[in-house]
Amino acid sequence: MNPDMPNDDAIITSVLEGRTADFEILIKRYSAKIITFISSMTADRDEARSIAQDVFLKIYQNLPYYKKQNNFSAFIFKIAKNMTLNWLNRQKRTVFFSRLLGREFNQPQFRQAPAQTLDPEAAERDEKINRSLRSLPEDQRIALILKVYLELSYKQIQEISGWSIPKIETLISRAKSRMKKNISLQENNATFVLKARKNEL
Amino acid sequence: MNCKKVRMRLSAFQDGELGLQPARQLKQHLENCAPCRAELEALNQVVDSMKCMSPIAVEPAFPALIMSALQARPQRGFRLLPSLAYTLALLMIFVSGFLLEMSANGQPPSAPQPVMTFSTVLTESRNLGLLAVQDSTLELFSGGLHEN
Repeated sequence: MNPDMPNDDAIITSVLEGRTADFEILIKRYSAKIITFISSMTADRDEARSIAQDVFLKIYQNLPYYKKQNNFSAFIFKIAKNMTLNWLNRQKRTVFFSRLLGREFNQPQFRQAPAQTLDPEAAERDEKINRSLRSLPEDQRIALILKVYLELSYKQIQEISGWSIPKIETLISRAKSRMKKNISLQENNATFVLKARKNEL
Repeated sequence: MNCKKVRMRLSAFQDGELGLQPARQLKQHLENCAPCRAELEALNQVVDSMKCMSPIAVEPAFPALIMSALQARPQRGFRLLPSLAYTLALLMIFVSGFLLEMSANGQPPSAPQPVMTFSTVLTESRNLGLLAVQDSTLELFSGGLHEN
């Protein structure tokens, strides 16, 4: 961070004193991280942007309750985590009731950035990683995303999630092992399909 | 440290979250153990492949979009109204419950009690035919002499 830029707590004080336009600095500072987190959790980049908007509105609304202790990042990721889990639960309910009513619910595939910005190989690689991420239990997925994509320490993850450090260590360790298995399984499947196609030819 | 313990803490070691002493012990083990080194390499590949994901581009208009949405929202003061309404509703429920309870017991809070005097007892008794009371006797007691 640029040393000339005010820190999060100073900006929040300024917003609460009535200079609401300063909130835009916080949005610029955290939007990429928030969208990355939500997108990795939901596997839907368009939806991630929409949820991120609601997250920032909620953050603004809850600014008076933030206790200034230089942990604004934990404060906002806690809100982002809760809102994302709410969205995922709503999705699960929609799937459940759709099946109950005998309707087919098409769960969206991982929605990428516009196709022209991604080459097919990169799109396939992203899809593979996202499929593996989606197969993880929610708590493992949260811990792994916060560690790998947002590069937070176990202590920071603890502030966001409320889990103990040993639990976080176990969750991340299990998540990595599962990811390793899933990725190698997908690679084996891809090799098998390639071989089968070659034999057909 | 044996291989089992090393595998359990390998991920934390990779994340740089182990203390100095355990990290040194784990490093020593890795120098002499090829399978554990391979396991660490596999974990590195997982993390690298995750980090290779295409970065998410945030549209330049995104912050301005949120700011305009914020300005379109009602001020915080208006948000207090629902909670005030809930409090009033709860208060009304409590008060009506209290009143219902009182009426069920048949004891209105301020029902006036009749004052019994000796002269009223005599009058009532004469009216019912229980006693033959002379008017002069009644007059004698109706001068404000109350029975305690």
